Amino acid sequence: MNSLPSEQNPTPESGAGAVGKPRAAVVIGGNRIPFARSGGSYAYSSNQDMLTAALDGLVARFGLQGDRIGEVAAGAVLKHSRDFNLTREAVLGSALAADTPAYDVQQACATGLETVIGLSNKIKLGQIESGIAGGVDSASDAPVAVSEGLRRVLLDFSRARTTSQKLAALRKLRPADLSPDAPSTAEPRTGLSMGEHQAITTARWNITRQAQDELSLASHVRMAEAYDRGFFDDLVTPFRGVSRDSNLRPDTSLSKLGSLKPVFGRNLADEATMTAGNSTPLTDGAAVVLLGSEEYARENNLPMLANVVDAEAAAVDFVHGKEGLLMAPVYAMPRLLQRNNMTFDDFDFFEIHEAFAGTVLASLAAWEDDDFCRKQLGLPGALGTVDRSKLNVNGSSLAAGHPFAATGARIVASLAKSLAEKGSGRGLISVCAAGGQGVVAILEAR
Amino acid sequence: MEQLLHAPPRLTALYAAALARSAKPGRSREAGSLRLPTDRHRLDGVTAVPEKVREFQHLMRSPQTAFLPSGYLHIVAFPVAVSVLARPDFPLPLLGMIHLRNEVQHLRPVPTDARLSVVAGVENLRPHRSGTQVDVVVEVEAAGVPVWTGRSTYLAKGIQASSTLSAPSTPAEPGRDEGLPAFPTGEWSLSADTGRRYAAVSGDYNPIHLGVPSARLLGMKRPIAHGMYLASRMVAEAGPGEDAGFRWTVEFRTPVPLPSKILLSAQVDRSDSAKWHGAEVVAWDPRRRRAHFVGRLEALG
Amino acid sequence: MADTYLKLVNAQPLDRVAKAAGLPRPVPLRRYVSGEPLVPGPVLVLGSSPGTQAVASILLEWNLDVRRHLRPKEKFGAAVVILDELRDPAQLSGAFLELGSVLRQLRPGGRVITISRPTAGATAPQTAAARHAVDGALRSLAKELRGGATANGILLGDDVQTDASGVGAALEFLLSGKSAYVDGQFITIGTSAGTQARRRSAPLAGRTAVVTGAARGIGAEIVRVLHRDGAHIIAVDVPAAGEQLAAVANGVGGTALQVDVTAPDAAGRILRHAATRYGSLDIMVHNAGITRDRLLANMDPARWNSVLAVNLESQLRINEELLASGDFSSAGSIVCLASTSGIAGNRGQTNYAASKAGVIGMVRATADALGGSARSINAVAPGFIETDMTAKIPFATREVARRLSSLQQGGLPVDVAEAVAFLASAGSAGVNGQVLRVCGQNLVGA
Repeated sequence: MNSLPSEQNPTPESGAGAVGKPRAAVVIGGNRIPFARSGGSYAYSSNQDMLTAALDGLVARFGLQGDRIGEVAAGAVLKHSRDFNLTREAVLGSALAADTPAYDVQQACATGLETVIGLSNKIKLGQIESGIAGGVDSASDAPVAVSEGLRRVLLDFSRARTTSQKLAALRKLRPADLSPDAPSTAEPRTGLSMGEHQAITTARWNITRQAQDELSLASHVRMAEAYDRGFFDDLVTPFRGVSRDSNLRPDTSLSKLGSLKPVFGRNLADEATMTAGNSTPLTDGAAVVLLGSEEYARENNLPMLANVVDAEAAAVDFVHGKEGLLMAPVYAMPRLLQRNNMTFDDFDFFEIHEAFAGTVLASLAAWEDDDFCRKQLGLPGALGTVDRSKLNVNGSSLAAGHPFAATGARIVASLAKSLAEKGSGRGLISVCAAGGQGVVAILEAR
Repeated sequence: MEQLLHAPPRLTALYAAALARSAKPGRSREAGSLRLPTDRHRLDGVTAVPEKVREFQHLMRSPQTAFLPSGYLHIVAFPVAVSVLARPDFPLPLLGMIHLRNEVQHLRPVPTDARLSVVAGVENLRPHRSGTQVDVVVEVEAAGVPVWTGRSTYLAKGIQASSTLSAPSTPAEPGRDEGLPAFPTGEWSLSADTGRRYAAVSGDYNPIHLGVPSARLLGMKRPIAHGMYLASRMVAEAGPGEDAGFRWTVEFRTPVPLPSKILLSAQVDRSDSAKWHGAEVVAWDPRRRRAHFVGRLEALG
Repeated sequence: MADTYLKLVNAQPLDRVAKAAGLPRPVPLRRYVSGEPLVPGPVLVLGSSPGTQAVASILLEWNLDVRRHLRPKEKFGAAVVILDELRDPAQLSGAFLELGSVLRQLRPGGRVITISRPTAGATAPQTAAARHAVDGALRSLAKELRGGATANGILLGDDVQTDASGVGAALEFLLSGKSAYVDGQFITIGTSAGTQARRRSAPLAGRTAVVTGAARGIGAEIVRVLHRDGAHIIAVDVPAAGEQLAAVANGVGGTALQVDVTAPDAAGRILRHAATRYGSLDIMVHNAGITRDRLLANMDPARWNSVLAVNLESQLRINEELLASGDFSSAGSIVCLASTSGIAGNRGQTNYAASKAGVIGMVRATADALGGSARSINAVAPGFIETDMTAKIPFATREVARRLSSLQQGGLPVDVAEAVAFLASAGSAGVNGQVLRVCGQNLVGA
């Protein structure tokens, strides 16, 4: 099942729309390993281990052994410096052909979605026939850096040529330099953790504790149901003895969620509402998506679940509090809808990444807010209301957990399958990311 | 009168001398007897150490440009300022003076390798509800043109100036501050070595910032962050991102003990064309909700 | 899993001790290795019927050294005794006594194969007696042979002549190392269906096979052998076994399909996968099975029901849909895993034996229903096979179980897999409704 040679560039297909538009990029399927809470089952698995496992599961699902894929793009947010070529290394360790090119992408929590968009665009342009997009993250096996002081001493030492230069370098070492720097989820420019940032947004939009807990409960219940009916049978391949996301709590309830103490926003003037129950935990995991042209899929008798229609990225100025850190998708959305001449009514599924329940609810509230949409989004009025029955129908990150770079591929594969099951309609994806960024995308059933 | 210094004053020596002097009893501290020296000290040919500038920029998380940051110019000028405060005829004790306020006008960009002249003097001795305050005025010139001026206000606690001086106009007793912003825009995690790292860059080894034992020497339970460290970070964070053409002030309300985490609100005023007009900054203790410092930055002209 | 005893008695100094003490002396069995001769020496063809020449022709076509007589002390690799025209018990003596006179010249790993007709087809008592006498003689001979040699029989339906393609297929299987652990058994060729017997290196080339329970043990070995024989593999197992399943699929360039065979939509998903990815399904191997052993007095409903559901009911349900589906090839073969427990019973296994005996019943009834079509269904009944499962049997019990067979050792998963592969290919050559025991002629259940 080799990729078609690029000279076989086909004529545009009807699926791509009107004449002159590029051909379609198709989601063929996906695979991920179950996500595990950090420090748990995958505590001793590296990013490369997990990404390789996700790739091998995908290869097994679609019979890609020894195939040369057009390109594999993936990334990790928390990455060791030794993993500079993480994706390529994972490809080399996988059952794919060794002559499959690969590259790393990093756009924080939007990494996975961005790889899907990038490879889809290459497919649409005819540069590649097939691609594997994805991401991986380990908060357990995260890189621990030496302190800035020790790092400088070591670098100076390595540059020193004479003994006296080396000794001079070492003399600069202070005892405090020996304690390591652990990674943190704090935004580099503000020093505030993502949770503290969201706590501000949550409070600004007056999102209640009750509403957040209800959203979290729905996520767990829906994901547990989806597992029970086998929805994930062809989306997840077990890893290290884990066959379901370890964060999933099928038996949780509003009263259990309500009993948790707030963990973010405790320093704010307003009442703190964000708990470990309505925030995603640090998670380990990997996810990948197989993309291809229609020709590639047909040639290799592969399923075609959905088309990748379009995508839009946005960023907000969060540094001095002008906008919430995780509100960028709110800005990307109207631009995407406008370009495609669509409204929320044109969609059957909404996949809004649940970094925190407050993120989803603040986004929904913002799109419904006439004043905000006029002033901040430059719209004539409110963007619209998302039908909650179409939102995250198979659960999302609050239930599955959120290995940063892997989430995009998890969402794309799940949504594509939902669209294929329904047989018609469209799905909208919204993923917020660190650095005040956000990416939204449209998938369409075939 | 301007007194020309022939060599850069060494801060450590000045501190040591001051420490020795403060240990001697019997110096007159009576109200009404306080008079400031009118001499200003001048030092020419001052240059920055490029390596230290880089370290300063790194410490403040500001970009490495070919120009001296506002806060670093304070460091360049500081030994000359201290040499005035260490004069035998300066009526207040150098060590233990509390930094209350700073006002800086950064007029022109100063290349890292510029040869500078620094002129420093003291003025405006006045009462404060808990002692006496004084302004240290510093001017930095390059090729005879002023590039940077600073006015630092210090408090000598427990020393009452003459009641004939101007009436006190000092901030209210620090307490739980209801006027704090509702939401922070940032958090600073200040590690225990913050004071030592700033000292290593600035050369200002004031014991009150360095560690627990040295802070205890001056009657503090824990070391406190250097005011100019806080101010420099504030400028780096909320400033215009340009090398000159702005004014900034900072008022220190309560000391920042080390280590600690403090919250910060920086409201930056930018026009639609993204031009920087200024910023208001407040930093506070999240648990006690008490302000540590309040700052304001403005574009000049 | 290692049979330490087998290794010890085949090495100095314990080999002599074992011989002197009359201890069981199992030898490593002759197993199929690609490229090695089909038989370890000349093939002696005994018989006087016209059909004898047809058999000799088949063997000659395979470039074997075929003899009607042996020189004194000449070693030989196999004897084929043609008894297709037996009418009277008196006709037995000639062939059997001649065979007996040269039996000491049979090489280790040698084969004796009788070709006769089933008792059931005979109406005359004398004919029936003669035909059934072969059964007793052959089974006894199998117990006399040493050195890993085996004796098995081929039974020809009354309309089937010795040149039928099924005879060639059965001969090849029984002569080769593929039947290493098949001993004292009969294979019935019911019809003359199929094309001329021709040895092919990839008898299953171009065919698509589903193997359930493929993640490990016997299932994984079936996958390997079917792939060796040229089949495309769809490896099926429960979602929880997905990690191993992916590795198995990746090892053979197949596809992994995570589905619980007890799920109501299991057949649909298997058929859809086969149809989309491979065009159709040709071979269905029902290998998935579980044990939940308890004495009946201690049996609980969960143990009973789960064993029946996985081992039997799933096969019934899937077969029903398979045989009704156009996506199951018109020449499709079904191979079911039964067990000698289902034939002879086993203490503590009322549930398991019920399920496996049920499989045998199902196979026979389904085979009858398939009569006249090119589809077939057969079963393999393994005896004591060295797997992770049998490794858990207490040491003493395991040792006894191993030595209870004529070959005085347990079989290997590959032995079962070879039998499955044989039935999968011979199914199109008149082998239908058979239960082939792979048990080393275990005393249990005779």
